[in-house]
Amino acid sequence: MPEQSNDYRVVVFGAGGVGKSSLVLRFVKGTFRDTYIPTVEDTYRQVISCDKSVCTLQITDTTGSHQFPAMQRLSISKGHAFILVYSITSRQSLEELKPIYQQVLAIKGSTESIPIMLVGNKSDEMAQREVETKEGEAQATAWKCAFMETSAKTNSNVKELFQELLALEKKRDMSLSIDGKRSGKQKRADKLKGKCSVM
Amino acid sequence: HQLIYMVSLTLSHFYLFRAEKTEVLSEDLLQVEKRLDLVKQVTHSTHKNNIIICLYHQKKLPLTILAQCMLEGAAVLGDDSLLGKMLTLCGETEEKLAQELIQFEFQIERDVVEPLYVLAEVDIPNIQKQRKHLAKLVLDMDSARTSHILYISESLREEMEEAANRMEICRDQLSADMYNFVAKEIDYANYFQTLIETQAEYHRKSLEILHSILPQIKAHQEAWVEKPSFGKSLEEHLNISGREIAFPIEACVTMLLECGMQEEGLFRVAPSASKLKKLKASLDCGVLDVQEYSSDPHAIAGALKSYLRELPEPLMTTDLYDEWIQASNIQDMDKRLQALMAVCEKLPTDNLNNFRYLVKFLAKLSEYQDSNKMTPGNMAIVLGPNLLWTHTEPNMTEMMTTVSLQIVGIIEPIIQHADWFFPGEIEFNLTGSYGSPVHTNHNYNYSSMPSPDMDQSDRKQQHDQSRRPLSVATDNMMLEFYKKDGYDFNASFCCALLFSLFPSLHS
Repeated sequence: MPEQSNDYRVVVFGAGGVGKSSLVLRFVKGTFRDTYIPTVEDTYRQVISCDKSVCTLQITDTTGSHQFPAMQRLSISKGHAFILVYSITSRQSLEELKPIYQQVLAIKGSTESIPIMLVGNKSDEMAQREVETKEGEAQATAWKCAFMETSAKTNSNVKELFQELLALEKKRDMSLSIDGKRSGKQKRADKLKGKCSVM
Repeated sequence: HQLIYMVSLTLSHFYLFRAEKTEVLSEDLLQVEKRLDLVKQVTHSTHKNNIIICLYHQKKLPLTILAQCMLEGAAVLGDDSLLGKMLTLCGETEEKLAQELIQFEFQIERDVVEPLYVLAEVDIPNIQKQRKHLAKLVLDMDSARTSHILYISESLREEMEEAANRMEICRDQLSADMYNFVAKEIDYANYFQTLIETQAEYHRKSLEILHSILPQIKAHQEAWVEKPSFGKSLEEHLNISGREIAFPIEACVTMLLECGMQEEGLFRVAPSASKLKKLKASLDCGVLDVQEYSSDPHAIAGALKSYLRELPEPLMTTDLYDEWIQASNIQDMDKRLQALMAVCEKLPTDNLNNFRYLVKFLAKLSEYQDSNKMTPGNMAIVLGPNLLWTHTEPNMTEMMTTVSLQIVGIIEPIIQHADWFFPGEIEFNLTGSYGSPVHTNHNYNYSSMPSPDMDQSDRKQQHDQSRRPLSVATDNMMLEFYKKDGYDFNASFCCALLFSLFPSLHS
């Protein structure tokens, strides 16, 4: 099991070209790039609130095009939560997730207490849909994990995806709303300042 | 046996009894007599054993049964399968061996067993019978002599002389026979020599049959194209198949040239796992259903990646791993290219041929990057780890991302500068017909190609002008390469011409 550190590590798995990087970049930077570049491996960090404090959300964007079993095992053993991404335009990409899920199950022993989110990306490409929403849901039920359809391109459900994933973690109380809290504090400070200045 | 034993026993008793009596046979003949019995015993048992063997074998030789089983099996499997062919060949061989064995046994029977039988059952008993007769005569003579000594009378003397006479005649006859026996010993011995010689001859012939069949069996094995290639070392696969480019590489590349060049994310997007498994297995058998996979370029690309990944050693070799990585760390691009070229030249011929083939293909694929979105950089990211890797220890896994990026820094410039690394065009379809004939020639614009009848020196000059100098070794190899290409080009050009003239031939 990964040590209970200040970092909370989320690992994104999925076949090549399903939009793992796009999802992560949309979430982290709020942008969508239309370029086509396979990922070797990227890690992004973001500060979130955790147990009335802050911690670093570390998102590992893995490569989908070639599997290094050793590297995959390492990512799984270090990860606290997993996002399994497929493209709704490719049934095969959902198939590809099965061995990855099995690997997670094998390394973690049980997926009961581990937040896992099955994600059908590219929900904007309805015309090319190959995997129905129901099928995704059925797979998620079989895996006893959460499910969501997203579109990194149209920014649909991306923030919700990460929010819900963090909410699944029962050992810690985490939320993305650190910015909101901080701005709240800031506001109060401003109010006080204002009052002060009035005084 | 028992009988002989008793006879010999009686004889030896007789010798004892007669010891004080007159000795009519010479000492050497007495020795011969002793031997007679032994020889008889020996030859008799040899003969008897052989009869048993012969009776047993009269049923059917086990070899013949085996041969029949094999031939029946071959008929079931058919001659178009390797196993069927092998069974036919082996069945025929076993049959030949059986024939040899029958021949051998017949010869032994005729040249060894029969004469020994005559010796043991006829010649020797005759002599022994005579010997007994002689003994009786000696007895007669001795008693006549005793009588004569006791009662001296004329009639008794005559009787004695007559007995002596009879004994002498018999003795002489017996002596003659025994000397004959001794004289013929070399002939008897010869039977055994014949036995060994026949046996040696039999084994020699059998060995000859086996030796003559072995090359045929090996040839069948080697001629059989359906040999697994996945997971086999490149060198072994090329040696066995007599190819220059590994079958999975050439088959996949040729098919992709036909149906996958425009496919978005080729080599990146995952293929269907079951399709990939099937394609890999069919490539292992050397069989390809081009039609089936023409609609599934990702499976083909996946199979190619798998092949490269499953090689026992990376295509770019483990030996050169450090040198490749060192070259990738050079920041100045010109210097890095030079360094990469230097490593490239160190690749073993088989690896270099296949690497060049692949790089030339990837360069071609990158020409379609507007539609397939696979830039040299993208290809390097997704394919690099299939071309070069090192056996990392578990605690090294964290370094693998860095290594992956270094490999990108090797592969990307090589694909980008493919024409500098490997000048000249390349014929992708070297050996097979993996697609429709019109597509087999991707190099119509070969105008600067040296023709095969061109003088070696001419050709060399032309090359020297057209590209940066390489080492002499690589030069010669490139010459070979062009030579081969030239022939292929002519053939495929004619083919393309034919098909353009007669479009109906396509079907």
